[in-house]
Amino acid sequence: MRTLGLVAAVTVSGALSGIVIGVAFRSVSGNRMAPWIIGRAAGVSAYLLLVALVLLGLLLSHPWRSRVSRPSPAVRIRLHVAFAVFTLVFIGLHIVVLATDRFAGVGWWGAFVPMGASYRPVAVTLGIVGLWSGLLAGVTAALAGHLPARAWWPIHKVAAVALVLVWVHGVLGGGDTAALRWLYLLTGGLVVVAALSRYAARTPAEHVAELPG
Amino acid sequence: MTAELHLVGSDDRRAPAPSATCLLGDVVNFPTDAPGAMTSLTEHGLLEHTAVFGPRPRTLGSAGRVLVDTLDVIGLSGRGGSHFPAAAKWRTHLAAGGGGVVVANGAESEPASGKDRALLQLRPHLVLDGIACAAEAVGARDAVIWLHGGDAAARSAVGRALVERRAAGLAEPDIRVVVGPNRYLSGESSAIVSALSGGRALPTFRTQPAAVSGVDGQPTLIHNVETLARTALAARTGAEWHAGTTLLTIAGERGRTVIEVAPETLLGAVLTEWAATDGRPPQAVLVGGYGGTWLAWEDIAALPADELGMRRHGRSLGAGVLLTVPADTCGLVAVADISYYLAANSARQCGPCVFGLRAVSDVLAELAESDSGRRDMRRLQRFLAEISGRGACGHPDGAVRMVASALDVFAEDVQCHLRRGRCRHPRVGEFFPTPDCV
Amino acid sequence: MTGNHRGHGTRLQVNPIACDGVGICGHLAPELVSFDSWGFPVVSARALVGRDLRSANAAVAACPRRALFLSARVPARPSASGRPSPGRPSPGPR
Repeated sequence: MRTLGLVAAVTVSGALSGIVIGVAFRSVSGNRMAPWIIGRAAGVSAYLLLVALVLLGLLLSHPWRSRVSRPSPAVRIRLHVAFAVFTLVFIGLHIVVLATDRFAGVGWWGAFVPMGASYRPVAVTLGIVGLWSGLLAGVTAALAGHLPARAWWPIHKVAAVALVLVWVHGVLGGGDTAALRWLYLLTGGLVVVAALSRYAARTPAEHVAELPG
Repeated sequence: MTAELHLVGSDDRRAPAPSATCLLGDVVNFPTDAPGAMTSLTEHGLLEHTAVFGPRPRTLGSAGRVLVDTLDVIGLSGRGGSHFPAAAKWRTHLAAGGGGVVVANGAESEPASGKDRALLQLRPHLVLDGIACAAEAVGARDAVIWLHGGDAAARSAVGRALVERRAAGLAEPDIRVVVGPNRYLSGESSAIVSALSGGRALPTFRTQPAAVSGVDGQPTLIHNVETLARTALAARTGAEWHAGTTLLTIAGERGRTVIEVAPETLLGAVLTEWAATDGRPPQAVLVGGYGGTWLAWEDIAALPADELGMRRHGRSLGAGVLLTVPADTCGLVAVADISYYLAANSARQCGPCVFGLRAVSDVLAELAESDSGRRDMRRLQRFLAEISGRGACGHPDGAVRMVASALDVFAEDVQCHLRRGRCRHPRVGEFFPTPDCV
Repeated sequence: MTGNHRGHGTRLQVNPIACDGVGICGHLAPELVSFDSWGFPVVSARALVGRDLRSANAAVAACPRRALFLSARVPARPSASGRPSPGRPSPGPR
């Protein structure tokens, strides 16, 4: 029954994605800027997914999480993993399109090696470092039970750095319209607020430490 | 009913018992508006103690083994509320190599209970005798009496008794007094083990019982003070003259009363005498303590007031506390109050206890105010199932037991609060002692 | 506590004091670990063999709080010893 539901969900979401991508391609087809537009759209999508991923991660470890009953803890973790996978997919699209676009000034070398791009090298480099650190966090978590010294956990804790890098990468590399600047400002602010409340909130362990004796 | 206690066994044709066979023998009141106990009993000094009970028999070596057998025969069980067989605990301790530490737990883990306080204040020598007997029997290297930080009267009574014993030069192990923090769970046995091992007085997660690996990894025998006082009696009377009385704390509107009753006394008779309002018996009783079980009057009236008898009916007296709700009073408010108290007194270490008890308490507060629906009741049932068995100590399980039995006993009230949005009782009772613990 | 375990009757167990509800165990051993309403793991009481044992070992190795362990012994919780069985009264902490 569960497998059937999963298959149905994957089929429906796959079909919907296909339609959306089809519509998107039709609207830009014949346009010389098509790869550039798709590449940047993929980048913004990946960024938004990453924001959702990090927000969900903060919720997963938030001392106040018990006050939020939906989504349920089990669904939260599955969503967290799903967001990570989708983020990776859109980053892949972002990279492939921009690396193969002759006019973008990035190329395969520039897409993976720091300071290898001719287009806004600092911005692209930040994205690359963000990608590697995010990948490290994801891969170590996926291998969590098989890595020594519970390495995934400390790596996961500093993985938020990836979002900071990606944010600057987005602002420097693609913050050229007012709408996008607002998007980065609002989402960035949201994450900062969530992180502050997560780390400022008193944990049960702190309550215990304050008990006398 | 307590007066004839002195006469227990007097109808027999046996010779008189070698010493008194009950612990208190009279009523001790703890009125809500007075600081101390009110009773005709006086604190036994060493002379009086020896005159009433006789000298403490030594329990070294084979005498110790005889005492373990006696505890087995009389079926002495843990009076802190667990009713774990004392003899089994001693044997586990001895099988683990003996020695180690003996602890008398006088921290009265049940806030509504008054029997441990009564014993410590009025019969300190009996408790100390019990510690000495246990320490000798298992060959303990250290003997400790663990007291509650908030109970100054018991502390000074025990202090006076120890000074007397040292002055008299009694042949017995040295007994240390350790005062725990003024907190509900500081009377939990793993919390005591943790504190005596140099840690904090908070429950810990154990994979072995304290009798095998307790203080600093040594076998540790932890007994409630009443269990030890009864041990001291049993060491004197043997199984033959064992009276098998029970200490009960009856709490309700009139404050708290500690009484000692003979075996096979019916709880209905006790409650009619001590907890009736305007001639009407209580509608329901929380048996055992805040983590106990609610029983309706019809179910409790015919039960015997002793643990062995209760077990035959599939029940337990726990710490011997009977919290009574008068017939004209809303029980759900009392349930919500106790649930809030238990949630607030979680040691806040285990997630299901920290968050679960709070969630349960929130639902019950709404229910008491007639401010909840059937969906909330389903949530409550889910929470209770989720919390059960998931703490390091028994605290969350006790809370679940209390709430689950309340939903059963007060089922009609629950329906009334849900359906009609108001209570069918004219009064709300807020009279259970909820000491101001951290 | 964290080594690989074999043998009959081995069960996945959680130390509720150490547990912080991080949740990686439920991700690595979904057949054995579910979550309560507050995100803390409820572990299956079944004896572990084969695939269960492998995912349980992964969950034990991944837990950043070292709150999971494999053992055949039931923890010495008060209710596990001489207490009356559930449904019978016997109050709170000892």
